[in-house]
Amino acid sequence: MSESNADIKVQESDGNVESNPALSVKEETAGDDQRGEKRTRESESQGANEGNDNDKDNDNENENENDNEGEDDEDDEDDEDDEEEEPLAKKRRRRANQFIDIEAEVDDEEEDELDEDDEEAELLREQFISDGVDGHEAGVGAEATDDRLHRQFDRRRQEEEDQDAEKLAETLKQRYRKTHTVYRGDTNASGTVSQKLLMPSINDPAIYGIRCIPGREKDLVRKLYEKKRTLARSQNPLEILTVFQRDSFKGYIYIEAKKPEAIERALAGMVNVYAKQRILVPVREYPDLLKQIKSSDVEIVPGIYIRITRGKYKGDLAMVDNLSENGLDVRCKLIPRLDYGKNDEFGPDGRRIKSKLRPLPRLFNEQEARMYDGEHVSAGRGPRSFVYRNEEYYEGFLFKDFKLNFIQTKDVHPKLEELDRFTNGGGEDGEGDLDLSAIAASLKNKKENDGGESSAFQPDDKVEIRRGEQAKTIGKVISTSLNEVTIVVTDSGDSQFVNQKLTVPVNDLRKVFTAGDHVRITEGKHADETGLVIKIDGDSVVLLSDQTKEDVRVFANYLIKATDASTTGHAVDVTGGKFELKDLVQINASNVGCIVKLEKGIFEVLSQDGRLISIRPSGIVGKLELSKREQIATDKNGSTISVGDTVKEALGGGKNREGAIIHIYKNYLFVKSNEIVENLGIFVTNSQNVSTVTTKGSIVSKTLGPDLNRMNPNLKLPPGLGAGAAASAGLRTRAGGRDKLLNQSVVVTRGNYKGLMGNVADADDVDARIELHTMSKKIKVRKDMLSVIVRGEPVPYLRFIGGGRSSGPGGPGAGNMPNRAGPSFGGISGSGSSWGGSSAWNRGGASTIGAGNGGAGGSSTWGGNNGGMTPAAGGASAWGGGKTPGVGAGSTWGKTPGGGASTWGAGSGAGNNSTWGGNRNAGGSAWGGNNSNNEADNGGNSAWGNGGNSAWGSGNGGNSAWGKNSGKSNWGGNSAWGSK
Amino acid sequence: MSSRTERACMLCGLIQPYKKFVDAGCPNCESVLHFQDNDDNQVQDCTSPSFEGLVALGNDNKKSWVARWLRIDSFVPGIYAVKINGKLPPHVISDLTEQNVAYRPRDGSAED
Repeated sequence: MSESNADIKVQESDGNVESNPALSVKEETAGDDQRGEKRTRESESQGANEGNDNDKDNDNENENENDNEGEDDEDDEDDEDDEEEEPLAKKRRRRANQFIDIEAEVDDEEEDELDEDDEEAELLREQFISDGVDGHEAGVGAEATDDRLHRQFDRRRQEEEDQDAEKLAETLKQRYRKTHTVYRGDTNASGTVSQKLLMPSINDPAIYGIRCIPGREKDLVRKLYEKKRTLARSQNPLEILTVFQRDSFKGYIYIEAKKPEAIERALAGMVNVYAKQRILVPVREYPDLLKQIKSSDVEIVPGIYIRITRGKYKGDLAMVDNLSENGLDVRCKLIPRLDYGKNDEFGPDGRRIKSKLRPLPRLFNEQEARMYDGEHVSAGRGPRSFVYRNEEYYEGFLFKDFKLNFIQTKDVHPKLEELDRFTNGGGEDGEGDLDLSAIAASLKNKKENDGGESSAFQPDDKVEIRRGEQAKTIGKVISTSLNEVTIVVTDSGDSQFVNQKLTVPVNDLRKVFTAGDHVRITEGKHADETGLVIKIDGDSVVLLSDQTKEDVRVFANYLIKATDASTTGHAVDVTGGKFELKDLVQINASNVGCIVKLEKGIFEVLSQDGRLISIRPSGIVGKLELSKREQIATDKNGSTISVGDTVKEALGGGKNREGAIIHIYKNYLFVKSNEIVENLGIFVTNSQNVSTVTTKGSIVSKTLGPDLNRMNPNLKLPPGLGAGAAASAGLRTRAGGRDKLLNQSVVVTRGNYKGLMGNVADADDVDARIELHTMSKKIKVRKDMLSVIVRGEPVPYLRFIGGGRSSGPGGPGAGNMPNRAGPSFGGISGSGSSWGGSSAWNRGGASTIGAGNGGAGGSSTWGGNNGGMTPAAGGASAWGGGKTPGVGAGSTWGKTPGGGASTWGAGSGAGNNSTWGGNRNAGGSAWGGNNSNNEADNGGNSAWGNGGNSAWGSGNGGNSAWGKNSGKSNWGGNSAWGSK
Repeated sequence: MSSRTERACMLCGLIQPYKKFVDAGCPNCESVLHFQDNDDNQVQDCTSPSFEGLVALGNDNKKSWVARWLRIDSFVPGIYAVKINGKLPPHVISDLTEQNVAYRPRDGSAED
C-alpha cells in the first residue's frame, strides 16, 4: 500500500470525524498520541447515539455525508454507512491488539474491505510507531522520518483547512438542511395562488359520493389509503386520486377519480360501503364539499357561552374567559361543583372513597374549603383568588382550561337561571349585566335551524345601541338583514346624528321598552306569553304575564310589542299543534266544549251548557273528532240540520241569534254567529230551539245519514189543523216500505246509458243502481232518467211513482192518491223526497214554476193529483192530460191555453188572481180534493184563496201570505216558506 | 388506529400519531418547523389534536383537484385533514415568514 494513498485516506477519515465538531476539536488539541483513544471515544459516543434511535442516527448520518462529501460520488455513501455500523466492534479490536497489530495488519490487508482497512491499518501503523517511543524511529530510517515530517506538516495544514471546513460545514449544514427535506408547500417566492383561481373546472377529475355505513367513513378512508399505497407499485395501481370524508356529510365517503371504473375497483372487496349507491357531485359543489368552515360554526371569542361536554362539568354552562395561543385550549369560567370532600367516605383501609354524587353547582366557598379540606386550599394571586386542588378559583368561579374538543359551542341555549347564577354570583353581587351578544351567539344556531327570523328586530322597533362609539344612541329600526340592522337615529347625544341612518350589528342593539308596554315574549321558556312591562332593568325587562299573572324577567330582545293577549297566530306553537281554535274538545266524561281562546298554557272553552271555562291544555281529555254523519240533529221543525247549516234561534227573550253550525254534539249546537262579539261569536244552543234558515249544500244533507224528516213524528202530526193535513198528506210519502223501483225492470231514457235496460238492484232518494241486461254491470242512474217498464210499456219514473197507480195493488184508490202526490213532488223539485220539495219551492218561488223547469215535473204531479182526484174539472182535463202516460204533464201545463198558465207565467196582475180564481175553482177543488179528504177544514182553502191570491199576485207578498198561513196552521214547512 | 393520539400538522395538514411527530417530524414541514431539533413543545404547538375531514392522498397528487384545492398537492402521500382547529403560534409564523413560507391557517380563518 502506497503512503500517498494512505494519506488521502487519513484525510478523508478526518473529515469524517469533523462531522462531529466537538470531537474534531478535541482531536486537534490532543494530537497524534491520543488518536486511538479519540477514535474509541468517538465510537463510544456513536454507540450511545445508536442506542437512542436509529432513525435519528440515520438522519445525522445523512447530514454528515452532505457536509463532507458534497462533491463526492454518491457511491461512497454506502461505504460510509457501513463504516458507521462497524466502528464499535472494530475499534475494540484495535485497542485490544495494539501491539500485536502487525500480524493483524496482514489479516486486514487480506480482507475485502480494502479502503477501510487500508486506512485503519495505516492509522494503526502510525500509532504503533508513535507508541513505540522515538527510539524506534532510527530503525525505520531517515527516509521514513522525512516522509513523516512531511506528513505531519500536511496534516497540520490540513487541520487548519479543516477548521475552515468546519465553519463551512456549519454553514453548509444550515443551508442543506433546508434543501434536503425542502418544504414543498406554498412559499412566498413561488407566489400564493388565490383559492378563486383553484376553482374546479369541468376538466378536473370527478368526485363521487358513495354511501357507506355511518360512522365508518374514517375507517374507509384509511383503508382505501392503505389499499392505494399497497397497490401503488403493482402492475395496475388504483386510479383513484383522493378519498375523503367530512363529518358534516355522514354516511358518505367521497372518491376523486377520473373514471368511474376506478372506483369500482377500489371498492371491490371493501366492507361497510355501498359501492352501488354513488352519486356524482356536481362540479360547482366541489368547494362546498371541502369548505373549512361550517356555516353554523360559532367563533369562540372570550365572553361567549359554551357548554362542557365531558367530565364532571358535563352539560354545564361556561363562559369563555380566554383562548390559548393556538386556539386549542379554552379557558372557561364556570360555577364549580364542589363538596370539599364532605360526602366522601372512608373505606375499611382508611382510603378515601370519592363520593359518586355530583355536587350541585355552587360558588367556591373559602371557609367551607378550609374547614373540610384545608390542606388543599392555598391563596391565589389575587385577593379573592384561591387555588384548591390545583384548580384556580376567582371570586368563587372556577377557571379551568378545557380542550376545544370538549366544549360545545352550538345550541347552548343558556337558561336564565344559569345566567343569573353567573351574573349574580348566587346573589352576592346583586346587580349583574347580561351580555346579550354572548347569548345571541349561542342562540345563533337555533335561529338558523328554525329557518325563522334572522333577527328579533323588526321594522319600527325602538332600539338602543349598546356599545361602541354610538352607544346610548336611540333609534328606530328601518330594515334588518342577517346580522345587521339599519336604524334611523331618533335620539343621540350628538344632535348631528339625529335622523341619520346607521347600520349596526345585531349584537350591539337592544330593544327599548317603556313601562306599560304590552309585549309578547318570543324566545325561551316563556315564549308566547304576553304581558305588561312593569320595570326595565338594563338589558332585561320585568313584565307581568297576562297568563300566569306572575312577574317574568326576560331579555329585552326577546320581546316584541303585542296588542292582543291571545296569540292566535301562534296557536299551533302554544298547543303543540294539538288543538286549534273552535275545536270541539272533551272536557270530562260528560262535558264537551268548544275552544274559544288559546293562550299559552290556558284555554278558554265554551262548554255545552254555555259556561266559559278556563282550562289548561293538560286538563283537556282530547279533541272530539266527529264525522259529518255523527253530527246530525233535527231542528224544532224536525228538519235535519248538520254542520254548516245556518240556523236561527227561535226563543223568547227578544234576541234571535242566528249563525252557522260549527259543531253538533248530541242535541247541543255550537253555532257561530257573525253578529255576536264575545267568545268568537260562538254560542251554544239546543237543537230544539232553532229552526233551519238554510242548509249547506243540499247534497250533504241528502246523501249522508238517514232522512230524519221521514222518521220525524212531528211531521206525521195528526191533522188537527187546517192545512196541516195537506202537508202531512204531501209529506207522508213512503214512510216505511221499500222503494217502489226495486226489482223493477227499467229503461234508461237519458244520459250516457240511454236506451239500456236493466233491473233496479238498489235505490236511494235520488239514484238507482241498475243491473243492466246487456252487460254484467251495475250502473248508477238518476231515478228521473228512468222509465219503468210496466206491462211492456215504459212509464216515466215520475209517473210511475205518481200515477202508476194502476199497476199498484191498491188500485186507483182516491185516498191513496194524495200520498202519491207527495213523493212526486219531491221528485219534481229535485230535492228532498217530501216537503224538502218545499224548499225548492222556496228557492224558486213562483218563478220556478213560471219558468217551467221545476214546473214541468211539478205540473205533472199536480196534474196527477188533480186528474186523479177530480176528473170532471176543466183544469183537470189539461192536468188530466198529464195522467195519460205518454204525455208530459209539464207540457200540458205549458200548453194549457187557460189563463192559469199565463197567470203563472206572468206572476202579476189582477188577472192573475182571477185566473187563479178560475183555477181556484178547479184548483180549489183540486186542493179541495186534498182538503176534501179532511172535509172539516175548508178554511185551508179560504186561506189559500185570500192570502194566496194576493201573495201570488205580488210575488213577494205571496210568500208572506203563505207565511201567514203557516202561522195559522201547522204547516211546518211553511214557516220556511214564510221566511223566504 | 388510535385517533386519540393522532395529531395534524397545522402547516401541511398531515395526520400522524403524536409519537411519530416527535420521533420523525413531519415529512413535509420538517425543513421549516424542525420538529426534531426542538423539544416536544414544538410538536405540541404546531400540531393539533382537533381536526376534521380525512383526505387520503396518493402519489398522483398533482392530478387531483382536491389536493390542489387543499394545497396539499405537493406533499407526500398520506392522510391529511381538511380542517384543523388551532393556529400556529405567532413566533412560528414569523419564523415561517422569514423562511418565505406562506402559512395559511387551516382552521377556516384563511380568507382568499
